[in-house]
Amino acid sequence: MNTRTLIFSLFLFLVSFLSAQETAPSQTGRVGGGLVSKAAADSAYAQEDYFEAARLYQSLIDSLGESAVLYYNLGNCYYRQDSIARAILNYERARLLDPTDDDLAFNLEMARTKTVDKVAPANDMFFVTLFRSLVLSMTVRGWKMLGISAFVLMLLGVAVYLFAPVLTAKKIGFTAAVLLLIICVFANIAAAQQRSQIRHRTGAILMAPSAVVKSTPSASGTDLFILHEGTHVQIIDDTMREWVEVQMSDGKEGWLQRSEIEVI
Amino acid sequence: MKKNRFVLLFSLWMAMSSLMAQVSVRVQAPSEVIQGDRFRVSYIVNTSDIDDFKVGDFTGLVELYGPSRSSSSSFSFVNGKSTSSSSVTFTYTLTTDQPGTFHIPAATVVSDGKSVKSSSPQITVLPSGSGSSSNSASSGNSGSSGNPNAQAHSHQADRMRVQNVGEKISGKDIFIAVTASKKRVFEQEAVLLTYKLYTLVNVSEMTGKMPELDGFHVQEINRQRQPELKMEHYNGRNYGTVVWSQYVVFPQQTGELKIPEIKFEAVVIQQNRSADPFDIFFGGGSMMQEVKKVVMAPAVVLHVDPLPTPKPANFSGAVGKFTVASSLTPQQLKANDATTLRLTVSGTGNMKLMNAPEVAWPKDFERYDPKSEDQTKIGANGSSGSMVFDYIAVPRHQGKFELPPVEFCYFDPDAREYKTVTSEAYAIEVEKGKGGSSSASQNYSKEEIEMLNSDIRYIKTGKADYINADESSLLGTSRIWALYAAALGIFLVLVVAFRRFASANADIARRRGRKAGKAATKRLKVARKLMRGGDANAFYDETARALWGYAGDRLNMAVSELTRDNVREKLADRGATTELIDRFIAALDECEFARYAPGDAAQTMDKVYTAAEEVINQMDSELKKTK
Repeated sequence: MNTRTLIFSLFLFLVSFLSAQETAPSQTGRVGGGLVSKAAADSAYAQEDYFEAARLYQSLIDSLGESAVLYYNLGNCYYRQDSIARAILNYERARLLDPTDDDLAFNLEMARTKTVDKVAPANDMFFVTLFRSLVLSMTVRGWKMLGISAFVLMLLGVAVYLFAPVLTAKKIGFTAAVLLLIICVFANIAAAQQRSQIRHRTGAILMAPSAVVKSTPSASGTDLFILHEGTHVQIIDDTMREWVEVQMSDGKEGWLQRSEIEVI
Repeated sequence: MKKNRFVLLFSLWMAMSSLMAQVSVRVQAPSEVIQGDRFRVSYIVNTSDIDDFKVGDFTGLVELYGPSRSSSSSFSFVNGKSTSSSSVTFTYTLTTDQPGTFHIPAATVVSDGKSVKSSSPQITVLPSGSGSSSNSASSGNSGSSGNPNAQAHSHQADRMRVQNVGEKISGKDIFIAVTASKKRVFEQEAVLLTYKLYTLVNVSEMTGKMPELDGFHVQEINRQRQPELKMEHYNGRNYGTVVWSQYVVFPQQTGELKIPEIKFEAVVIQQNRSADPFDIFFGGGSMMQEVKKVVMAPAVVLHVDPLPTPKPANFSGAVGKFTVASSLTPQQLKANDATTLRLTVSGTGNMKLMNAPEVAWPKDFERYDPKSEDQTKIGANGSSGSMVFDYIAVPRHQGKFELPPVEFCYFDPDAREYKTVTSEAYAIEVEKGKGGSSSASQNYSKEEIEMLNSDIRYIKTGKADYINADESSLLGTSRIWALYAAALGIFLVLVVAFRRFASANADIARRRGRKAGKAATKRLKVARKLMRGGDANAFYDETARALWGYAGDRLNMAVSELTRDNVREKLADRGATTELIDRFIAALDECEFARYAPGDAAQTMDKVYTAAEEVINQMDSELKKTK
């Protein structure tokens, strides 16, 4: 009797849990008293009114929150207006949220070809690159789904191991369970990694047409090198009010004024 | 005699040849004369065989003398070919007192039965002015072309007043007038500039050139070697005039453009009247002296309008009037052979400054830069004639292709609008080249897909996934762990439940097995009572029940499953020895056989009871051991 009530209560809990989260947010946002929809922004883009489309997408993001699709579309608007740095910024933001999108990767590459600086990325170790690209091969959502399904399958494997009457079935169940546990753990690590990248954003895009990277956080510091708009930098010291220490993907480091960059 | 015969033959031959030639009459007369001057009018007939010669009335003109007849003949023998010509000239000497315009009457010549009429040129009689000496014996004779011009020049120059040395040459004696064909033009529109010399003095030569001009493309019209000298009445004087030079300019900029003054240097001949005759005699001095005089041609300002905007996208830069003709040869060809489109743009305008029109060859064709051939002449309205553009293209693959018409867009300054003329469209048939289509692949086996342009991909329409929504969904950070916990919880509950159920089942079986011996003993006790009572049937039933019941309890089997084979098998599984199993089965058999067996009933019952009791006890102890 006791076990049956326990199962029943768990089932009830799940059902309520699932139904509670199925309240999707509406696709409209409230901006300045008026109602803005994504469809309106899309049609403005289609009519080549890129300025208006950019405004609408931006207001959607402001009111409804970040979205890879909205950032992508906003990036397209800026690209069409020839403001490449803004386009790259928004493409990078979109890629942070959804690293798997082919269109996004293509457009970002197109925009990058229009920038001035060519930064050769430093060669990382093979496993580091592999791990990074593996982490980026799925979205946070994808990793989470993979993790939970691997977990459930692992439990099934354990069950097989425990209750199967035949020895081979027990062996298969055990091996599968171990493998699935590894997959589940990796999926959660990858999801956490990506989430932390979204939470703690260290990438930044240079927005000023050109900027001098200084050796010290002051205007009198030695000029190290000059960067041009649209270049991607990594923030490594974010503690000062007016200056940030940045690192290029080829390893060069220096200080830039905070106003010259915008965090992805 | 011989000589006479030769002359006769010659004249005969002459007559023959002149018969073959077309008879014509040419009029030589000055185009303008000064009132009171004497001048000559000559009618030149290009044959000596004249039957009749008649001239109409010289109305308004006074015939002083004439006609005087002179004849000439020439014979040439060049490279084995002989040509001969002979002519007769009738000359009248005329004068007039009235200024105005008169017609010189036409002459009618009858030659070999045919009547030929000459033209009737106009003659302008200028009023006598102070500039020219009316007394000089003039023989104004202005021809139409060629050598007579040189004569005319010298004659006319003679008529100029020859100044004395030291006499001042004023701006009124010699000046240059500039005329522009248009003062307000469009960019690139041709303007004809004419520099005309007016002189009262005797000019032997003059030099002066158009300087390099900014904002203009200048082309000079080739002047005649000996410019035609004409008389013109201007400001009460009769000037000798010469069109000295003509330029066609194409403005390249807009606004007020100035063509600057041009400096000409003229050499004026003056007579040295006071020269000592002895000096002249000894060659010490010349009667004539040359004096240099600078003559400035005035500047000209042109107002240049820009071409109207918007200019069509395919505007060729040509300004003027044009037509386009085209030909494509060949129209049927094999792959890898060349075909040529010849585009002829003809008309007048800035021909040299226009761009070659674009030809939209089919994509697959290999094309070459057009060659252009200039067949233009410079004239008053700019270049006229035609520019010939040859476009060569080589098709690389067989097929039927369409060559769209070539559009040539130009600006018509008269209509003040852009006009487009088009050539024909052509259908090109390309057959397989030599050796099949593989010949086309000698150079390259496959063609890359031509990337014309690259552009970003389109925006994503449809629903957007918000990151906030993700967070609040089932996959949100807190909820996902709840999900894991729930899955684990359900699993554990299921495992525990399953375990408990299994163990409960195991307990029931064990208890039954444990109690099997007791239950059997109980039944046997009942059986013994029945034995004592002598109830044989009941005794055997109870004993059999004790044996079967023991097997069922011990092996956890239902009654329906109990057969001898099943029991034997299960007991073997439980580890009972074959001997014991045989005895157990034997005891069961005994129960059934002994019931109907003859003999001492009490003794048999006792024997069966003992066997059953023994086998159950032994079995119980044995199975417990193995357990």
